[in-house]
Amino acid sequence: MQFKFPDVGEGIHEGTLVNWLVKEGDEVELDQAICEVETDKAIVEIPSPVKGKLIKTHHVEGDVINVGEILAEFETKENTESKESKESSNNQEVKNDNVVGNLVDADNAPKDSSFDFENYTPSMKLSNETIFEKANTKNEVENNKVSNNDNTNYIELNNIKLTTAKRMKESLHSTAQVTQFADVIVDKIIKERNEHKEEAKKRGVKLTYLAFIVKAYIKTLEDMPEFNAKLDLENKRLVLRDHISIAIAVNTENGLLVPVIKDAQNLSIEGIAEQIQILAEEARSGKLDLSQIQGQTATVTNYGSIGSKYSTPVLNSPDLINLGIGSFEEKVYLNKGHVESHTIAPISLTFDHQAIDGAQAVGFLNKLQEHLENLEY
Amino acid sequence: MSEIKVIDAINKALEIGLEKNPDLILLGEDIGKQGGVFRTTSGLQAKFGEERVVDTPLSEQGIMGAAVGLSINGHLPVPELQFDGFIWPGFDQIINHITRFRTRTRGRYTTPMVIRVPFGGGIHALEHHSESMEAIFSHIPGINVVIPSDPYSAKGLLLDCLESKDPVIFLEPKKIYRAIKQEVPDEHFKIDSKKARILREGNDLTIISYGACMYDTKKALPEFLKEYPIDFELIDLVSLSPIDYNTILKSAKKTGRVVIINEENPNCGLASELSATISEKCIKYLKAPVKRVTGFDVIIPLLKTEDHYLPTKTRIIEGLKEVINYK
Repeated sequence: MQFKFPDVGEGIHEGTLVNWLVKEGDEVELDQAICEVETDKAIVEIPSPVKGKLIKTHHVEGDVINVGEILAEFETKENTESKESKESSNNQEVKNDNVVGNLVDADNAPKDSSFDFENYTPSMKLSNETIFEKANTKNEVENNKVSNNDNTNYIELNNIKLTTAKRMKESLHSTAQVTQFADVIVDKIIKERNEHKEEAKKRGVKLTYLAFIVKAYIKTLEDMPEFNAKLDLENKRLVLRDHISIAIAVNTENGLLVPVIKDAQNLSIEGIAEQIQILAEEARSGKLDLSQIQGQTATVTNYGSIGSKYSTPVLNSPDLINLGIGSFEEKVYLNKGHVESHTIAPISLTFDHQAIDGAQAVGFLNKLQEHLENLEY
Repeated sequence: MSEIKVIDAINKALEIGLEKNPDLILLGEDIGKQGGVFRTTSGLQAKFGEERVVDTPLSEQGIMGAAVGLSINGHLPVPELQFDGFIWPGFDQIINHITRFRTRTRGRYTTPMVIRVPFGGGIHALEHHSESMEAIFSHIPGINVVIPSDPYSAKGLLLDCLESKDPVIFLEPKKIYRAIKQEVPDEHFKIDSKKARILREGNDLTIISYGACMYDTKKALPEFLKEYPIDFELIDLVSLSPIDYNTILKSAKKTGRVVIINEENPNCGLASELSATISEKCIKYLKAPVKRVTGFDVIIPLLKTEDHYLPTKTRIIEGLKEVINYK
């Protein structure tokens, strides 16, 4: 098959052969670049019009070639079979030359395996249901599923669960929560509690470790009031609270409740313990009213009481922090080469990074740790 | 009968037209001595002379303006615009005059003419050479838009358009100018240019296409039918404006499943128009939503990337499958 120099762009009638990219005898793919030709506009690669063997090149590098001149000859499966018929249609090919772009030519293209309409017999039948019939059938199936064949088990969500779901999502959607951890030595707290728990018991108060920790938490919030605040981005400010009210997460049969110790800054450790006791009882017996679960300025989550060591509590919006307390554990430490054993409380502090930087939060945790370890309240 | 290509079919139709109608005048850039950028008018100036096959200056506005004057004065101009992308300087004449003269003069003057426009992509050409703007032409009242899909229809439709009393935009799918050879009668014959052609009658799926996409659709069919040997109906739309809704809606009601394949930018396109009308008129008969397999809403990309813009065999087959597997 003779390949004539095609029109590579509007108004270009000649080009200079820059170099051959293939040589005589090479097998070439359809559209493979066979040579580069420089025209007024650019250097263009000339693609092979066929898949086959390049049997002859008609020009050498540097030649000026006119559109329509024979550039190369190819041997393809097809033209070895019907060389004669090709040559007889040469007149038609001449007409092809001056064309913008590459037109598929029935004379050069492999014989089209066009679809034989006349001898086609369909053997597959499609369903006759219209969209509406399908939709109705679908609805019936759905309806039947609900009324008759429903094997799925459900747990209906109560209002407490639904409220938790809503508030958790809102919290995570509206804040940038980060959690930091610290290990606190609680030896002194244990000693202190052991000394006072019997007295408290006589007054009907169960003196818990949690009360000590909440007291130290309050002290730290007094030291660093920017943590006892809420974020008011609209007015570009932090709103500092004039009281410290600590919400305590309480696990109940019906779900999570978070009652609030109001004005906790005024309470002693035993007072805090008493409040926690009352609120927890009321939570578990479902006696809390709305005012008792609102108005907190910071939150404590005591997952340690049920045996967990580490957690990242979710913020109880609009609080900026939520303190998590893990279960106590006795550990061996090295102190200047000497082996010591201490009881450790792993604590975590989730904070809203929108309002508080990581360094500030570390400052808060360090101060809290100091207060807890040295019984500074 | 001779086995010829689309390019030859158009050439023959123009030759017959020039012989039959002494008022017929071809005009365009390089159409005379050179025979047109694609060689569609090859040999016609030599046979009919420079006054009937006129090489014009490079001005589409001028070509179309001259056609308006010729037409009003009783001639039948057949202007050639080298590429669909070059039509826009002449579009002013089309939209402001050619489509309006009959209305403007309450029927006293008309502007019959056949505006020949090489159309569509698929030849890896330069910018402005590959657009598929049929929806814009079809949107304007007052002009018919016709497109053949093979050599037989190219000749029969063009000969029919040459007798139209209204102006016609005759889109010539350049990708298949030379790609198909087909037996075509040598003598004068006409195909109704306002009617869609049913290329195969069937009961289960209507496939609508036109122009070069009909060629691609036919190429995709064997692979599809191997997997789904269904009783399909294949319709060549032919007349893009006015659309032959008689044929289209009848077929849609019969099969209940319709796939439209073209290469336009889909937004506000002809496929959308067909889909909307079919949905509006046949909704209760439909067994699946009407599927459009089209180009994309981008400027048609150059060279090889163009192949991914045009409906590929894979996309055509996927579209057909989507409709017949709709649940």
